Amino acid sequence: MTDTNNNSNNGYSLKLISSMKKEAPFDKIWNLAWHPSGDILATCANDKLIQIWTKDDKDNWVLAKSLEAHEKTVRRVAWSPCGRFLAGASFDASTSIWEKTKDQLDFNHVSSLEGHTYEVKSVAWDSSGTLLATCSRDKSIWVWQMEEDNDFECLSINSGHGQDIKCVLWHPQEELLASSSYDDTIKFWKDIDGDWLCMYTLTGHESSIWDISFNKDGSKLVSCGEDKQVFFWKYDKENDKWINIFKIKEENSRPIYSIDWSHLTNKICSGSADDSIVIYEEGTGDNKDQYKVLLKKEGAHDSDVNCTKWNPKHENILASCGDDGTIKIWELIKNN
Amino acid sequence: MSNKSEDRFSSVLKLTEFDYIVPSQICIKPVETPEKSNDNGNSKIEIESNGRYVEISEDGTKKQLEKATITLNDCLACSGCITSAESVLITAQSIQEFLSNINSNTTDSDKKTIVVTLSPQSRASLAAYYKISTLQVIKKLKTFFKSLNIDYLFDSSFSRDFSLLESAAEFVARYKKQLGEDQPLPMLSSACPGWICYAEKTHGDYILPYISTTKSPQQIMGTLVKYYFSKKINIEPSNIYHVTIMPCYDKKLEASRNDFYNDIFKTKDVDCVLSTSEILDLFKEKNTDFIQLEESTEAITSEYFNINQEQQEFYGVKGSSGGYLEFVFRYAAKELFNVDVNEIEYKVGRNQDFKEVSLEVNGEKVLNFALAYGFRNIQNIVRKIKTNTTIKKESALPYHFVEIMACPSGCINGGGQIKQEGIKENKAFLLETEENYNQQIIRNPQDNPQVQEIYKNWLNGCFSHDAITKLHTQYHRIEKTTNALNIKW
Amino acid sequence: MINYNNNIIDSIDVFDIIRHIKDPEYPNTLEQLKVVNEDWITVEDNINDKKDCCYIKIYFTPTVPHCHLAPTIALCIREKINQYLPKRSKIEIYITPGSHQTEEEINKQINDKERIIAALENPEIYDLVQKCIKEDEY
Repeated sequence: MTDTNNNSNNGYSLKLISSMKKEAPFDKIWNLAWHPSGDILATCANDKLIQIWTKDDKDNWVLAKSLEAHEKTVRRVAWSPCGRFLAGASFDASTSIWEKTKDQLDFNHVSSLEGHTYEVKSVAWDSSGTLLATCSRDKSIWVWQMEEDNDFECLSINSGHGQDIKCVLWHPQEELLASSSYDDTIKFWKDIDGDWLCMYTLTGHESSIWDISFNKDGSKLVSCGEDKQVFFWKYDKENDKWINIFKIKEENSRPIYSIDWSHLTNKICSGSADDSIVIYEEGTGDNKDQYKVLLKKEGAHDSDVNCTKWNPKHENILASCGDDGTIKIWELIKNN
Repeated sequence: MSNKSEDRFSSVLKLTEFDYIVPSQICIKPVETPEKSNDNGNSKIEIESNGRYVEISEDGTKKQLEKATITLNDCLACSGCITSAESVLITAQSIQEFLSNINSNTTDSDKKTIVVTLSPQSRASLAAYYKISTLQVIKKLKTFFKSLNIDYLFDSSFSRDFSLLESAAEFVARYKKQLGEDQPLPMLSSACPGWICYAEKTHGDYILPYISTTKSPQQIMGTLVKYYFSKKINIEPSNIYHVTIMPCYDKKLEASRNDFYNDIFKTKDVDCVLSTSEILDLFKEKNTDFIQLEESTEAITSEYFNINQEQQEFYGVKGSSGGYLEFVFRYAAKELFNVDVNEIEYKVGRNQDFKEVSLEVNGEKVLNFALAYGFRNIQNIVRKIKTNTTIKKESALPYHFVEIMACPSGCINGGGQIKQEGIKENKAFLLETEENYNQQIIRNPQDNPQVQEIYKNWLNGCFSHDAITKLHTQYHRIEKTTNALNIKW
Repeated sequence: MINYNNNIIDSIDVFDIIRHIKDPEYPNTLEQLKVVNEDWITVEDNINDKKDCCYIKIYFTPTVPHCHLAPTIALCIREKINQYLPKRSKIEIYITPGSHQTEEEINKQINDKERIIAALENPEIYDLVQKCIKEDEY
């Protein structure tokens, strides 16, 4: 299937490679995560399931497993960097931890992290794979450490945000945690002598910040939100602070729910409530801190696009999912 | 310093480690609509310039509406948030309430005897603030209270001796499985009201049986003052107005519990709780320059006050949150294994607020105690008890006793203590406060002659039937709010 | 029965769906309480739009400026449209400017997709909403 709508997009187009549909029509698929190998996808939805998708013998993407542990919507999923563990954050106030068997696609439910008082909105592993962060509508961020017996110990409970916390994400290299909130701010957290303190607070967004993503070396961060804006931030080493270097306003006519910075190609993709996927590109040379829209794929889904993620192993491949109950895999192509 | 307690609370949060138990969402109680008169939907509600709500009915008549207020009991009974008294507007236990009670206490016929109980953490905080000794704090406070016509000043270290002795005896009984399955191990300490409130609101069924039934020092003093001391001075319990000064706002919630209200005498064991920092507000209100006050020369009664005969030094226990772990550990080691424990060696855990102590007899670990302060460490304890009892079906925890306090660094750093601006400054101030707290002679509660006398004359011995009736309490699970009209989503 | 002329949805259609919603506290409907009004509804629906989706914007006026159930009323409006409109829609709901003390706060909450879904997963709120939007049998 070729893209006929968007040929004018700077010579780029998004080619649909595969489309998978959940059984119930218009199930909301909230989030997806590529396994580090790039060959497995985990998704989660309002049917309370975490599902595992992979390719069959004929190279078709198929549903491989459904993992059941939650009583309410599963909002986000995250693979540990080694790919052995999968975490699912749920509106039932708990986070489930699954261990994948070595060679097969079997999963054991090894732990359940309880303690948040309301919906858990996001979960993230740090780069070492030993720390896990969760955040919730209860305004707190919890940092957990994985113990030898797959049990988890709570290291810290950070309450600095004034509202619902939408997303947590670890810096790709350092033990630095970023969080974005309904209070319109992004905060960074760091362990100082056993206490996790708020290091920086980034302001500028005009409403809830739905998603954040670091570039490969962690020197930059991109954020998107209910205000339909995409903000680019950069770490200013000299003054030890994060500064806003660029923003893109109203490319999307509705809130932007997802943003992902490719660590392979440095391109950025976003998914929005206007059903579109947008690809952004960083400038070169003197324009390194400037960004432009490479293409906008209208009608990428039949409803809100909730998540867009670049494949970690295969360049220019990305997956998306949305309120139309479908998961789509795309390839970004430069037309000749 | 601001008079509004919520302001102060948020500054506490701003200045210290973010590890207190804090309200998890905006209190839903204040938004419950005030009384509705005629439900025909044709009346309008307006807000007048003075901020008052007025209902205007169709014919134009105005009716002033009641403003919704929240009592501490509302807060206790509501599962909307974990704690704390601070996020709701508290009027019942404030310096204004305290002063109005003191000021109206003039007519001879129904004049009440006024008793103030001061905590050792509060006097240490005041001493650090004014840079004087804890003894000077007491003597100046005596002068100040005298000017307010307050009759007695007591010390909650005194009632804490009972709390420690009862806890230790309860622990030994639990260890020997004398109390049945309803009171299993590990025994979790009960003196911290923030922790109790959290346990009741979020973990009822799992956790409550593990919590020691022993009352906190504040509530034991409440019992002593209203039912023992009152007899001694020959007045009705309700004719005593009992005020405590505590390092903690949550103590206000504790005092408001129905368990500590006497239906017959219509009186609470503790009528009003003021935090240490509210005492500064009180000085301000009374235009008092505390440092300039004379030191009272009046003798302090050693009944209800842990002070030595020369009136020069305080008696106390090690541990600035009440020393539960240390005392129960020593007592149990002696009672159960006939081991005299000298210096206690702590093994510090992942952070300073988690420590372990164990006792080995013949190469076997027979006692394993832990100290867990702050919300994160409480979480790990609760979590371990839950997993071990539900999933693994084994004994609940590798611990036999856990001293739990909601605040990082424990009571000495309680939310009601005086704070300094800035994280560094506050840490230094906390160290000074701790040093002041330690200006005391360590004494085993068993060696307190006045306590022993009360045990003999009034309670029939430690952990006796009478002692259990008077010095122990119970906990209640709080049901989750199920009225959809009150759920804030 | 609503007649969807040419399958195009307009503000009358939307108003017909939401007017009979009952107030969570009073026995009256949102129309009777003047909470909703046809004039405060705008609908953008393009027959040529193959996506089969319309855009709806609704302003509503809480009965009192401190009404703590305003968010729940918005939830009822949204849920009823989702259940009864024979077409997919993207809905924005706002408080009529100046009619509530915490207007901004509520506007944010009632349009937050995540909060909406989570609220409806709470059985008590779900039951209340269903009770309010249930059509009376005539």
